[in-house]
Amino acid sequence: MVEVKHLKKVYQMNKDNLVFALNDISFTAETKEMVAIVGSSGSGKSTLLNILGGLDRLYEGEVIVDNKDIKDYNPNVYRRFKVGTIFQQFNLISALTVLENVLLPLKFGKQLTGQEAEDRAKYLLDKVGLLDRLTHKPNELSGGQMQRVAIARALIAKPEILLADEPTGNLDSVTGKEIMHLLFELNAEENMTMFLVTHDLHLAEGIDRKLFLRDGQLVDNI
Amino acid sequence: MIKYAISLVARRKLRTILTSLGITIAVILLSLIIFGMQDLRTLLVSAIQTQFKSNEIFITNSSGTGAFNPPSSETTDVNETTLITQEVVDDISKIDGVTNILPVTVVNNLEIKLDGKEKAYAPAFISGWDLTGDDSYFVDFWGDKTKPTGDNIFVSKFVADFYNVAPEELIGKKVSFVTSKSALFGTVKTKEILDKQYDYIIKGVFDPGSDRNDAIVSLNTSTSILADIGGFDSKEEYVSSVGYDLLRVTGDEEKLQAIKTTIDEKYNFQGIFTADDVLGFLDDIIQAFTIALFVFGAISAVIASIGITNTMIMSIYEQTKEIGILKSMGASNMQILGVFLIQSAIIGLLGGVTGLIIVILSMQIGNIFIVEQLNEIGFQVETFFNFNLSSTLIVVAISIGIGILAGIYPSLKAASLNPVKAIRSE
Repeated sequence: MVEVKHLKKVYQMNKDNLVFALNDISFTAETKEMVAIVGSSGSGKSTLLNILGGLDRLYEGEVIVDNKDIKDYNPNVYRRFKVGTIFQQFNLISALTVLENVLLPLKFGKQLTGQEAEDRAKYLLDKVGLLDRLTHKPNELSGGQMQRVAIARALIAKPEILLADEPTGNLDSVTGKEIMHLLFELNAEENMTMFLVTHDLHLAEGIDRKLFLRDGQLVDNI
Repeated sequence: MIKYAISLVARRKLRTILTSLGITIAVILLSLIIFGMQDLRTLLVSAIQTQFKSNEIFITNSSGTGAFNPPSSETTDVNETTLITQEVVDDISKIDGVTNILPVTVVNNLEIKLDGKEKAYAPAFISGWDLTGDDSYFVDFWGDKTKPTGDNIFVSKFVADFYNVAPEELIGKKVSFVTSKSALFGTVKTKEILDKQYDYIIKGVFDPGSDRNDAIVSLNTSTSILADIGGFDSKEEYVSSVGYDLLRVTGDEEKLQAIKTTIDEKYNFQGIFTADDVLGFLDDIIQAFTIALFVFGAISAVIASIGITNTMIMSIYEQTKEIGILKSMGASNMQILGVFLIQSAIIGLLGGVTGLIIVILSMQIGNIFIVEQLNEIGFQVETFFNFNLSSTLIVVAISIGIGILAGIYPSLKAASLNPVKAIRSE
């Protein structure tokens, strides 16, 4: 379960000009729940994503993950084991193979043994339909395939939260639908809370829970 | 992590190679110090120790005679120089601790001509020196070892080599010293010295090691030749007005320094030196070479590290997004630091190994020529550059060290990147 309480993030542009990237946001999301965070550019959704991802720790308020404030976690441990992220740009490491990319988050901290990690990686790559591409490099894959590798990589450490930042933004509509379908499927299977960040309301269709952000404020929570 | 670091280095092969070149040059200079200088010193010390015994002092007023090239640390006004006259020789022999004193005169404007041969050996360095064949000056000796007297003389192995005969074959042969018209650039030629000829019989052949000495006659004989060529009435007049060229003073080893000081205080010779002086002088030269190589090595190491730092900064600039991705997946600052330090260490290692390969190959080839040359001028060596594993490992470790040092700043920069900003960069 993820609880966000009175989350506030302020940028001081100059002496008299404060910008509220996030202004007193509170919500709760259950395990296995899929939450769409919808908002236009500048609404604060990226800021929220960075805070949930453990990349931005300068904020006011509380974010409780697994009954513990994320500020109480070691930031590296939180990023390694509590959260997985999927990016619009896929962000695979081009020098590494598909399998190595998927295993990469586990290289930073021991959680599984080598064999367990490889079995988990192969299980996930089978799930995303890329078991036959283990030794391929990212530049030998299509956009949809790269995003599938990124999904497997985000899930390798069995995170509590999966953050998907415009995951279909760089894909054609057919491939985008396939990726969304895959995310729904994996969300049900893996015990996690998934946040899908998008500016596109169509993408959020089919997701029951929606948070609408505008100018740093939560304007609708349905 | 290591594999990832290697893949980052391998991604820009040409840049990596060019960057590591600086280290290669530094390693070459460093290896010359480690492998070359020590061997050079050992070689020269052994050569000097065969020539200069630890209980001997050499005094000279001549420089560049060919027989001895002393290190003249002081230059004095020619007018003030004490002549090495018979009186001076007698005085020095009375100093406490002096056991033996041998004056030497050198004739260097004659050629040596073996009886019945057309060709003459020139330029010849002929010394008048009352030495027995047992003297420690000789590395090797063939024939009658008693002192040369009158018509009986010693010639060096160089003469036997010149006429292509075994040293033993020269013994008993007639030999002439004839006036040289061509030998020795700058030697004063006078009307009197033209067409002079002095005939002798060879009674012994010697090997002077790395020294250059072509014939040894009795002091009496050489002084007579010098007086004759120079137009003096007698050899006594020659000695009293020109003096001997060289004195070899033998003394008790523990009193040698005191003897030298006494001589130094009383007389003003152009050169007075012991084996220790020569070794000290040699060490100064070796040290100067070492310092020069070290300075060049250090400069190239600094330039190399600037190159590595520059390359690493470029690399981090290009990989900012990847650093952001790694951090978002939980890579710690230390792990990012490690990835980039490994990269700079790899560049250092590459440069070091390349440098060592170049050094080892060129020394293998150099060894052949240097040993040949050294043997030709009388040094008995089988190998000049000697390798050892520990020095090689030190060189590799130093080059890796330079790489790591140069990588510290850029790696810290990479480790401290803000992941949010890094991940957004293109």
